[in-house]
Amino acid sequence: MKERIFLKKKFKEYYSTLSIEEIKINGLRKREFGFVMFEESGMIRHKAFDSVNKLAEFLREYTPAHAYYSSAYYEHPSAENMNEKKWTGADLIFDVDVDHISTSCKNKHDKWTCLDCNNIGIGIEPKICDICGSGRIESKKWVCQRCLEVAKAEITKLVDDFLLNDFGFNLKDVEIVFSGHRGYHVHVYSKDVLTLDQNARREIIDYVRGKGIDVYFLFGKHSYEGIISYGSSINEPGWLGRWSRGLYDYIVNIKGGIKEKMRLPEKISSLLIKNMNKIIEGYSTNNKPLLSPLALSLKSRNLKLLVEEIAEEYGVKIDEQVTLDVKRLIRIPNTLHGKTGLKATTVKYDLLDSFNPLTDAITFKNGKITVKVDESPEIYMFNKDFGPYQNQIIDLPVYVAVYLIGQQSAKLL
Amino acid sequence: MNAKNSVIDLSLFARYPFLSDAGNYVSMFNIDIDDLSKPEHNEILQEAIREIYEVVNGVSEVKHIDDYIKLMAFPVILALLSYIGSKPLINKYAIKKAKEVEEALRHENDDVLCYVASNGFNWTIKPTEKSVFAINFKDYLIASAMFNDQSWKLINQILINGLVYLSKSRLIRLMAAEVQRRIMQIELKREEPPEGIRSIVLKIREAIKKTIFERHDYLEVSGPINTEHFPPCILSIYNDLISGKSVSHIARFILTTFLVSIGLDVDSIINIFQRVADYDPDKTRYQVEHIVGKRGSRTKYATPKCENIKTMGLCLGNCGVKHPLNVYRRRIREKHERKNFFEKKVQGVL
Repeated sequence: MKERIFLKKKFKEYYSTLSIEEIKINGLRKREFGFVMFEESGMIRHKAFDSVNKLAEFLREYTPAHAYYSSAYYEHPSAENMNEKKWTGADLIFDVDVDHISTSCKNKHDKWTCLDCNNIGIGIEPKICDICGSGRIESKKWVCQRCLEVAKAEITKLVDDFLLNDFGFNLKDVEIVFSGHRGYHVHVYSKDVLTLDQNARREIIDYVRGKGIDVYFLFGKHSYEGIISYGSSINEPGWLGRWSRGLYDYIVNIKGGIKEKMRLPEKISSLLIKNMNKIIEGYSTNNKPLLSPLALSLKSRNLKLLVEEIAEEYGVKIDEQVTLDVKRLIRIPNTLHGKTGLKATTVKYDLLDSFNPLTDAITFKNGKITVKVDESPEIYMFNKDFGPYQNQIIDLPVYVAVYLIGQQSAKLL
Repeated sequence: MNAKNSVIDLSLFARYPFLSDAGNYVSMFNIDIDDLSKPEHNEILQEAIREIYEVVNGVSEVKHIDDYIKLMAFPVILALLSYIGSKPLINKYAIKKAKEVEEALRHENDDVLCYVASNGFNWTIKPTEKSVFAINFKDYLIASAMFNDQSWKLINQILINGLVYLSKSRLIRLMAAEVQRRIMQIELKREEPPEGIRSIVLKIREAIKKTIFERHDYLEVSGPINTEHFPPCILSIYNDLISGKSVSHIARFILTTFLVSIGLDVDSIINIFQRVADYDPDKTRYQVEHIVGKRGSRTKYATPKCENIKTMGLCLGNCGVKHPLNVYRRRIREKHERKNFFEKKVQGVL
């Protein structure tokens, strides 16, 4: 309890000095707001504000642990019945969360416990316990610098290759936000996406993820008869060039002995290895892969698998549900995340490269406090390593203490 | 097509009566729906009726119609359809009109195609080289939703800087699909038809009843549910559930919405969930009533579409439909038609 009071006090400090400029929100009056408070579980929903000042006042006075707004715009955002709200449109939102991406460092910092037989393991939790078969598994996940770098690389690919190049969105309509915890959000405010329904958003998701690519599209009508000679050039626009570059990377990686994480059937990968010199030869003379010897020995089903696997590998690993949902509540940029105390920081496109959330999103930079840490892996914040800790009473900078308390891994004395 | 802004081309308007220029032209005459029964407009009304009966009877005759009559009949057809109030009839008309437009577009040059797309649908479109067109991805996504085929997926298009590049033949197919989509969207009128067309509307409603259009009435089940008509995804969830296997929340949600749609009441659905190991009567009732729309937000939840079920990883096969209920409807209909067939046969023997 006193931990929550402490967090709330710190958050209040932040909100009382927060400039209105930082929470400027497009179409604020048409959005629904939702909050999770420190005092109670569950979300307060269907709130609406008619000015940014009122919102700032609310944040200062009530100081929520989490603050969200709807990606949707409504005629009556505060109506409690979703139909009465009268949906008029929604931003296009992308969410890249390291939860959904397997990173090797997860074996270092993530753990799970089976609630039925107390079996424990490290890394990504299994769907069912490998000992007792129970599905009741509790996991404790942490993020590290490396996880967040992987997420940032995905976001860079999303914004550069897809949103700006292929979809042609204006940079001024694209907002990149560190989520305050495990990843990044991208908000697209273009009028071209405003009224798109779920079917249309599904197509955008599949495009970005690399799902549903067609052999015919890449190789033309005769591909299934096995008379493909060349794939598309690496310089071609959109997925034609992207796929071709993907295949090139894949083959070069195999050649260089780098183990690939793609799940291709043994038969296909051995064929690729057998033919890799010929394929690369095509690239060096024409910028295209020479595929005929390979394609001739691939059955159409296998060729389809190869094409799809490479496309999915080179797509962006976004959380589909977030983009699909046209009534989603999403964290308000530049508010604090109740589980980390980090700021959901808006990141300027030009500065994305050098942005480091575990430094740049830190809010409570001053002071130290003594806490009792139950358990924590090594964490890296503000250019310093802390921990690992196990049942330790220790003096920590406030930002580390807030982070560990938010993660429920530390208590006040 | 710049010249088209000033010159009124009746033949063009008759071919593409959905153009906004054509709409403006029609509205100049200021004909009210009640005026249609007047002798001077009789020809327009008769043409509209004729086209609707073609759809009702599933026939199509080659007949030369004056451009003015053909153009003026189009809004009348839409008004009649919205008063007749049969979605299947509207859909059939939409398909027929789309085919007609597609055929006409094939004979047009690039300029006319661009003019029809921008004036008719408000699309952003520009010709790039000969017979290659670039259209805004938003317009593409909305229109291409009519197609199921993989080749129409956005990922299988050339998309550069927000523009989708299409060959002439694909642009024409997309435009025809857009015509179909727009007609399918016309809203049904709840109120009684105006005096001038009432008797016609009633007559067509009668005519439809004799056709196979309105076949929804036997879709809902009564008595024990017949799982042989279930699509594989639903059947698998159902089987898992009654055999006591663990079934995820989302799978239970899908099954419940499906069972509601085919007409099961809350108690029958709760009965099915009783066989689950972690059955909790109060919780189950709460959740089922929530989905039915008796609680909470009072929203009645629909069964997710196939593509969403795919996303959730619960799709088990290519049924060739967009929605699991379509499989159910199709199988019930087939059974119904078989039954009718046999009954007729038996009667014939007697």
